[in-house]
Amino acid sequence: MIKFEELNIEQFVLELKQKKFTATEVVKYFLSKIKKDKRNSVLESFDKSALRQAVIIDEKIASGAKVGKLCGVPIIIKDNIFYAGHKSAAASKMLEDFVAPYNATIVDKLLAEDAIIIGRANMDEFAMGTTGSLSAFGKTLNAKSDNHYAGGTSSGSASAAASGLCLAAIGSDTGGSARCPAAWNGVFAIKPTYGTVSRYGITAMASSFDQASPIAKNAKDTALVLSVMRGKSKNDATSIDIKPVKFGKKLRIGYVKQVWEHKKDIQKSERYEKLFENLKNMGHEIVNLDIKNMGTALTAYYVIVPAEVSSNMACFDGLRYGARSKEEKNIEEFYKATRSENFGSEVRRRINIGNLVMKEENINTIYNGARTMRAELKNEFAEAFKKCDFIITPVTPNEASKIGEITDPLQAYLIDLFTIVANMTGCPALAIPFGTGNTGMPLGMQLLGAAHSDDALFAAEKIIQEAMK
Amino acid sequence: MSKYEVTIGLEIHAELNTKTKAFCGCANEYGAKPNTNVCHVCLAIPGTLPLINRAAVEKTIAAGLAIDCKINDIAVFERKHYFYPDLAKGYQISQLEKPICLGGGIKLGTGKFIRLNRIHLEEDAGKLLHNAVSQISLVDYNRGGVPLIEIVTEPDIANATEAVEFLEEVRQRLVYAGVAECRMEQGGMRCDVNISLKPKGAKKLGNRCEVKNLNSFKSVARAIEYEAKRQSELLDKGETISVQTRKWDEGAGKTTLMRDKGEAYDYRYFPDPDIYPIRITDRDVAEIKVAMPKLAHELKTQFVTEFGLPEYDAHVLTKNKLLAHFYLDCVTLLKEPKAVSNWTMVDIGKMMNDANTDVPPVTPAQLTEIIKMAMDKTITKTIGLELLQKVSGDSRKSPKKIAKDMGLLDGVSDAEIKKIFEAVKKDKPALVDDFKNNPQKVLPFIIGQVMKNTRGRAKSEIVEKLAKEFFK
Repeated sequence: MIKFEELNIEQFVLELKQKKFTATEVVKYFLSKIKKDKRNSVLESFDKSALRQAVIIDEKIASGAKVGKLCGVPIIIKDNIFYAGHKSAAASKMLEDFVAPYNATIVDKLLAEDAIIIGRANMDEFAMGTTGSLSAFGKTLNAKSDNHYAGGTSSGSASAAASGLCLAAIGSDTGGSARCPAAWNGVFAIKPTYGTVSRYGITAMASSFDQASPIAKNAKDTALVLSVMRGKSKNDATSIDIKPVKFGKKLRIGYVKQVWEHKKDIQKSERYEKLFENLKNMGHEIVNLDIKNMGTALTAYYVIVPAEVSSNMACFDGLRYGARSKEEKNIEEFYKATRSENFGSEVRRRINIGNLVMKEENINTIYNGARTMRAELKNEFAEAFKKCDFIITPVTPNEASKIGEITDPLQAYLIDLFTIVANMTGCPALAIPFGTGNTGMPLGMQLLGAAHSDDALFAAEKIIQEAMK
Repeated sequence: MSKYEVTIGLEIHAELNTKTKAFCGCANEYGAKPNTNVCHVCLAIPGTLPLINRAAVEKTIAAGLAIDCKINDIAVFERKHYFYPDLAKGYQISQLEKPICLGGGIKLGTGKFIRLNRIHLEEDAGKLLHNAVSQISLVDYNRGGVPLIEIVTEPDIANATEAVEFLEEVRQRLVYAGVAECRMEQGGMRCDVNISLKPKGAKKLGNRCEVKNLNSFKSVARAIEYEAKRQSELLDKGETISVQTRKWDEGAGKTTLMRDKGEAYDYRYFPDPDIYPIRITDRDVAEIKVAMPKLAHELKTQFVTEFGLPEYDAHVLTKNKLLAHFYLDCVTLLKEPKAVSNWTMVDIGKMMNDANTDVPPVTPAQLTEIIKMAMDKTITKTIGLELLQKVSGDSRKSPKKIAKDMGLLDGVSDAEIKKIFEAVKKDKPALVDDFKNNPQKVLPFIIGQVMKNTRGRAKSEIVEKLAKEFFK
C-alpha cells in the first residue's frame, strides 16, 4: 500500500494522473486514517461528498479531461471556513449545528483545481487562543505527542497535516494562529500578505488581521496551495492581487535587536547564531535592525483584536442562526443568555476587553493609542524592508508546552510575541520547521518579508535550508 | 413662555432611491413580501463582507451639493454598535469622523440661514412586526441595508414654523436632486428633534431633549410646541431639564420618556475594517454636479426669466418636481408658456388633487394638443377639460382623434344653427321681442344655447351674425 501522505503534491497529482492509484482509493485511505486518529484534530470527515468528488475526478482522469493543479489532493479545512452544505461551527457551541450556506472563495478556488475537501479541523473557538485547547469540542493533541499542546488556533489543521491525515490543511492566521501550531507540530505554514487571500466565507475574528493560511509538510506544497487560494475576489473589497516582489541573489537578512536581546528566553538561540554565521559565510548580508515597537506591538494587538472581535461577534444574537437560549423573559435577557450559554470563556473575555477599550472614555486613549502604535509599527517595518529582504525570528520563543502548563491567558498571549507583527503590518510570514527544542518537541523559524514577497520567502527558504546543513 | 428662547436642531433621515441596497446587491424596494429582498450579506451570515454601492455614495454627494455642503475628499465608514432584533450584524455601518458631506445649509423665507453640520451615509435597519394576538414579534429584514442619509443641522432653528419650512425645503431639494423619494408615510423620510430652552439672551444652551418617532411634519411641529411648553413649565417651577431621549405619541399628542442620559448608549464607533476609506476627487464631484437635475429654485428662476411666468405660477409649478418637469416638457412642445402654465397649474393640478397623486395624469403631448385646439378655438375650454378626462391615464390616446371621433372638429352649417334658433324660439317665444329691445342682453343666452347643442363646434361670431338676421 502506498503511503500517500509521504508524497508531495506534485508527485501525487502526477501519479494519480498516471493512474497508479485512484482518487477513490486515496479518499478511502485518508478517511480511514482520520477515523483511527486519536488527536481530535478533525471534528468531522466529509465522507459522502469526498467520495462523490473522488468518483468525479476518477472519471475525469479516465476520460482524459484536463484536471486541476490539486487534482485529487485531500485537504482538511479549519472549522471556520465555509464549505456549502457542510457544518462550519468555528469550534463553538454557538454554531454547533450551523451548516454553511455557501462556499468560501478559497473553497471555490480549491475545488476549481480539483482538490477534495475531506473534513473540518478542530480549532480554538472562533480562532481565539494559542494552545488548541479552547475548542468547545475538546482540545487537539500535538501530532508528535499526546501530552503536548497542538498550538492554536489552527490546532486541528496543523496536527492533521503533521500526522498525515491529509496532503494539505487550511488554517487561518490572525496573530500566528497558523504559524504557531505549524511550528509546534513540525510543519510549514504561511500567513499571506493581507488581502491577497479573500476572507469571504471565513467566520471573521479580527477583520483587519485575518488571513487564511495553507499548512503542509513541505515548503513546495505550501506554496502550491497558496498559489491556488489567492487572488482578488469580487466579494471581498479588501482583497487584492499579489504583485510579486523578488529578492536579489545576495539575500539581505534582517536581525532585529529587540528580538535577539532576549536570547536567553529563546530556545536554541545558538542554532540561530550558527545560521546567521553560515548565511554570512555564504555571502549573504546580515542587516542589524532597530524596531522600537517590536515589544509594544503585543499590547496594541491585544487592544485592536478584541475591539474587532467584540464587533464581529455581535451578529451571534440567536435570532437568525446558531444556538438560541430558552430564556424568553425579554429580548435583553434572551441576548445575554444566548451569548453567555454558548460562547466559551476566552471568547467572552475578548468581547469584554473589546467593549472596554472602545468605551467612550477609553477609545481615545486606549483604542486610538493602539491604532497609532500599529501605524508606527507599519512604518518601522516599511523602513526596515528598504534595508533588508526579510527578517528571521523564531515563530514562538519555545516549543509546545505540556498540556496543563499554560493556565494564565497572559502567558498564552506572550507566545504570540513574534508572530503578531506580521498581522499588525499585513506582511507575509513563513513558518519553517527548525529542529527540536529542549524536550524534543518541534521548533519553528519565521521569515517575515515585505508585503507581496510571499513567493520570494519560499525561494529564500531553499537557501536557508542550505545554510542549515 | 416668552421668558425663554427655544433652540432646535434636527436629524433627518432619508432613504436613498438606489436600485440596490448600500452594501449588497439586494433590491431597494418598498412594500415587497417580508424577507424576500435579503441575502447572506444583509442577514449577517458569518463570513460575508459588505460591498459599497457606488450609486449610494454618488447620491449622498448629490444630496450634499443640493444643500450646498462641502464634499469631503476622504469618507470613512464606521461601525455603530447596538443590539436590536432589526439590526442583523449587531452594528450599523455608518459614518462618524469623516462623513461624505460637511457644512452647507438652507436660507428660509425670512432670510434666516439654517446651517447644516453634515450629511452622512449609513444603512437602514429592518422592521419589527408585532402581532398582538399571537404575542410574537417578527423581523422583516427587507429594509435592512437600504441606504439612508442622515442630515444633521446646527441648533439654528427657533420654532416649529422654521423647522417645518426647513424640512419642506430639504425634502424638495432631495426629491429634485433625484436622490430620494422622501415618502414619509412609507418611512422614507424620518426626523428626530433636539430641543432645549434657555433664558432669553443667554449664551449657554440649556439641557436638551431628543424627540424620536416623528413621522410627519405635523408631528414635528406638534412635538416642538409640546416640548417647548413642557420644558418651560418645568423651568418655571425651578426644576432643571434632564438630558433625555423622548418618544412622540401622536395619539396622545405628547412626548414620553424613552431613556435618561444615565442610560445613554455607548455605540463604540470604530472604522469598519471591511471597507477601506473612499477617496472622492474634485472630478467625481464635478461629474455628479453636471449630471444633477435642476433644483426647484433653479427651475423657478428659469420659469420667471426665460418663460416670463409670474412668480406665483413659478412657485406653484415647482412645488412638485414631477409637475415642474411636466410643465417644462409641455413648453418644449408648445411655446406658449403662460397658457401652458394655466392649464398645468389649474386643471392638471386639480386632476392630481382629486386623484390624490403627485403624478400628472396625462402626457405633455396630450395636454399641449388640447391646449393648441383650445387656443385656435377648434374646441372650447369645457370640451378641452372633457378631453383631458378622456385621455387621463392612457398615454396612447390622442385627444385630437377623440375630438374627431366625437365630430367636434367638423364645422357647423348655417342651417344647423338656424334649426337651433327655431327650437329656442319655440321654447321661448318672448325672446324675439327681447332681442329687438336689447340684443346685447339676450345674445349670450342664444349663443350659449347653440354652443350647448353643437358641443361648442359653432363659432360664436358666426352665431352672432346669424342671430342678428334671424331674430330681427
